[in-house]
Amino acid sequence: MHIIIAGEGRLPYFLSRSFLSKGYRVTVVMRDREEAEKLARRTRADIIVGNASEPEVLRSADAYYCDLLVAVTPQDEDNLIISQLARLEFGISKTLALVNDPDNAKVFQKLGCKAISTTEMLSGLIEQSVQMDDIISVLPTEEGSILLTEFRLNSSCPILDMPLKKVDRPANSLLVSILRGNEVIVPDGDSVLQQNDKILVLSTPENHSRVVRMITGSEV
Amino acid sequence: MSMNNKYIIIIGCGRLGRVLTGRFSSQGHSLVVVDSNAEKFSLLGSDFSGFTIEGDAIEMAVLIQARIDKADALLAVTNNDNINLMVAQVAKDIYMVPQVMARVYDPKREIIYKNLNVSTVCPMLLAADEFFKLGQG
Repeated sequence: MHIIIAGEGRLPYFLSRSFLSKGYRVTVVMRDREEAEKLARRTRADIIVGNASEPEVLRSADAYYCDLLVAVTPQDEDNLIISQLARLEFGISKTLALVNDPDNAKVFQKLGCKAISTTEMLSGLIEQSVQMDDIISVLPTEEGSILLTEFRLNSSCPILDMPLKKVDRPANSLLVSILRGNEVIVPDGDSVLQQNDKILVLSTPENHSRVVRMITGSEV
Repeated sequence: MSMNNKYIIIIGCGRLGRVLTGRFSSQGHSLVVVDSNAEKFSLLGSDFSGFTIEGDAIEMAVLIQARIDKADALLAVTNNDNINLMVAQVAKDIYMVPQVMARVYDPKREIIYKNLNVSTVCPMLLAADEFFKLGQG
């Protein structure tokens, strides 16, 4: 797969590093020669110095043989035009444009250009983490391969007032301890969860969302 | 343009933008000029009677403030091709402005967008046509 990244600053570097590590061919197009030279010393990606909204520049980036173009410059208008040129002139079917102003996400979509808004993504994630206030903390261990999550149980928890052996627990998850007031309980199959208990649960990242659903009754 | 009063938005208050405002003003049309640099507005002629808006034309809030939904025509004449092409598409495809035109310096980009039914003017190609006619004649 050949990916063209049009952008300035550090974003093209981090993107190219991640795409190269997956074995893709990466070409970065940037305007600033000094920045491009710095990038060339740090990555195996092909670097083209130029304005990606000029068709000639895209051609020299081998755009006719490109599977995906990512436009991540700081200017929304450039990202739109670069992606449109990629599609119209070079037949690149997959393009992705960064929008800096979240209002422009809808505009890009209406003009037939797939857009991602980092502002919207970030605010969405922040909202989500605020909503999940019954998750107190998540402690990743072993480089994130195991998660230890602390929950405070409220009345919407679907597994209250039943022995734990009746609970349909996701694979690779374990209820480690229950904190009830000042009491610490190491649970067994007959233990029963109550409202306002704090519990610690071990899980793998793959099962984490299932664990959250089991305990809070809501989606992550 | 016909003689009846039209509501025209001009994006970019550079030399071309100012010539256009002068001509449309003198014909009695209603004008709004948008530029990200408010100092440019001081260069508008004293007979200019329209409105000015300081702002980035690729921000939808600015176009809405310019009442793009009511515009009869939008002329995108900043010195940035991509801004002109984006604003022209927004005006034509999202706000259905009846008459839209963008100035595009890069002749290659101009041809591509002409094929996309965006009305464009490339000053370089216009000049080349004139010189070519002269050379042929």
